[in-house]
This record gives sequence, structure tokens and C-alpha cells, in this order.
Amino acid sequence: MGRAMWDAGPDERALTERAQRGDADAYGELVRRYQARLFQLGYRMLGDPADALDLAQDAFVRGHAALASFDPARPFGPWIRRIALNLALNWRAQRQPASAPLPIGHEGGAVEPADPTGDPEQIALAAEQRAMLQRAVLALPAPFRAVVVLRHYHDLSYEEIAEALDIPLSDVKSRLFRARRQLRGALEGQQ
Amino acid sequence: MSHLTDDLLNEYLDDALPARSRAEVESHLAGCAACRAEVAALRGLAAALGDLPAPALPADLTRAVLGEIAPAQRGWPLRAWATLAAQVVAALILAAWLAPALQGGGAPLSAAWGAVAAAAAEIGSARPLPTDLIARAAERALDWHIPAPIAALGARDWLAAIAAAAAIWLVGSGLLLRLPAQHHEERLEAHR
Repeated sequence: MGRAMWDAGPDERALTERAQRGDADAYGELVRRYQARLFQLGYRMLGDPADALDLAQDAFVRGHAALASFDPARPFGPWIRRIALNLALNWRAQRQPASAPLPIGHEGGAVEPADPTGDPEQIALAAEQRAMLQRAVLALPAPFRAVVVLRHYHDLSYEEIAEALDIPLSDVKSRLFRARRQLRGALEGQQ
Repeated sequence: MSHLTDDLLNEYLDDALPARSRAEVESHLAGCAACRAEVAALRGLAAALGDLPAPALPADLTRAVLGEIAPAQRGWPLRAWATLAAQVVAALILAAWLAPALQGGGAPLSAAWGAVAAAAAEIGSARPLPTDLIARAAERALDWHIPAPIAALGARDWLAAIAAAAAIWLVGSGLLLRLPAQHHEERLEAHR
């Protein structure tokens, strides 16, 4: 998911202004536009499709309640993403996803990347490696995971991540680099 | 020659270095296999992360979100009002049954049927609002003599009255309390 997906469409300002005036259809259109992206963010952060869907819905409901504080001159995507991120960072701490079952390509319409070799053993190995990596991502502390998700799945720069998470630039770097070390350790430990 | 730091390698790959530092890193990499291997490992990690599958959005959230934010659609569903109405009617019947006994009269059951029949006739003719019924019950309650001879009720009547009141309270409250949970389940159901 590249950064372009979060940029505002041409008519978005009109939509957000209508939504701010209480036009439910306009807000519904914003939900339609951003729901898949918030769901993906939730899935990357929480590792569970049902939780991701709850998170996306909660983010939109909270976003609507806070709509008065939104500046329609700015794009809606990063704003609603920030709300979703805050929710994800505070998601029921007692239900951290590290021990949750991980649907890797077998449910919820996930797509297995095609393996050109077609060798069943290779495919199994690749699937196992992906499962291992996903577990390692979900085992990261949420503030570290958030930086990884924003950098690798949202293609944000260090500065943009610092703004999205409201943390200093030095924290972005230290979290990202430490998380990568940990993930590499998990990948290499498996090989 | 010392190797590139972890920070430099990461920033190089994230395209976060100023041009001069970037050139320095590149010239180092050209002559250092160990650092090239580090870069390759970091690139491999980025590729592996990009390969992690993610499920597609399983349900359209628009209706659920609009349902939650629409103030007019908030509040109790019809089922809750029906439960409450049933509870009120049951309480009125119980009150009608007990009223004569509390006022010192006997034969509470037949009096109760009389009161219910009268109330039914009234509902049939005037179609009173539930609020009218409650107001009428309150009026009647005010007429009651509280220190009435409670002994006029037999032990079996008392047991029946307490059991009926408990049933009304437990069943009605139980149904009402379950409503938010059902709401939540319906929301989850809508997701699937």
C-alpha cells in the first residue's frame, strides 16, 4: 500500500465539508473510500481480521465525533489513520495478538503470492517463513510495530512517521532499526 | 576500514540520507562485501514484509458506521420497549390482584380478574396510552392504605405474590440487560 492511496481525491474537500455540516451521506462516502485502508492498517497492527474490522469501524465513529476539529484544507486519510493508529496502540492490552492464531493466506480472502518454482516443498517453506515473520511482527511491542507498519506498508518517511505517531524523529529511527534487527533475527533463526 | 553503522545502513535503504552521505555509503559498499551483505539482508527483510498476505476487507462498514453515528437511530430497539411494556402490564395485574387484599378485602384472585377485565374493557374502548395506565395505577396506589391488614393475605397468596413479583423483575430485567450484548453480537454478525 503506497502513500498515493492515502492522498486526497479531487472532491475530498467538498465531501469533508459536507460531512462537517452533518451530511451523513458525505461521511458514508468517506467511509467507503477509506475503510479498506483502515482495515489493512488494523490487520497489520492487530493480526486478526475481526479485530481489524472493529478497529476500522471504531476509528470512523470516533472520527465522526471529532469531525469539528478536522481542518478540511488537509487530507482526510492521514487524519483518520492517526485516529486508527491511536486506537490500535491502545487496543485491549490484555489481548495482545502475539498468541493469537494467525491466518496466513488460508482465510479471509488472503492471497498467497505465487511461487514460480511450483515445488511443494519450497511453497511449504515459504509459507512457514511468512508465518514466522508475521508472528515476529505481531510479537513486537505495539509502538515498534506501528513504526514498521507505517514505513513498510504505508511508505511514510521518518518525518511523516514522527508526525503520525507524535514522537521525536530519533524515536522513529531507534524503534525502526531495533524492530528490524529483531525481525531479521526471527527470519534468520528459522533458516 | 571500519564498517558502516546499522543506522547508516538503515537510513541508506530508507532513502533518508543527504546526497553527500549517500555517496560516501555507496563508495564504501563498493569495496566492502560484509556491508553489502548487510544491505542485502535488510532488503530481503523489506521484501519478506511486503510479501506478507493480508485479507481483503470482509464487509462494507458504511452502514454499520452510519447506524452508529445517526442520533435518531440511537436508543432502545422495539424489543426493549415491548419487554418494558410487558413488564408494566404484568406489574399492573399483580397490583390489581394484591390491591383488595392490602385494603383489607378478601378473595384477591377474583378481585384481580375483575380489575383486569375492567382494564381490558377500558383499553378496548378508549385505547389509553401506556402512560395513562401508569398514571391510573399510580392514582390507585395513592388510594391504598399502606398499613392495611397484611394478615388478610394467606401464606400461599404471599408466596404467589412474591414469586410473581420476582418473576416479573428477573425476567424483565434479564431481557433488558441482555439487549446491549445482543446489539454487539448483531454488530459482529453484520461483519461476517
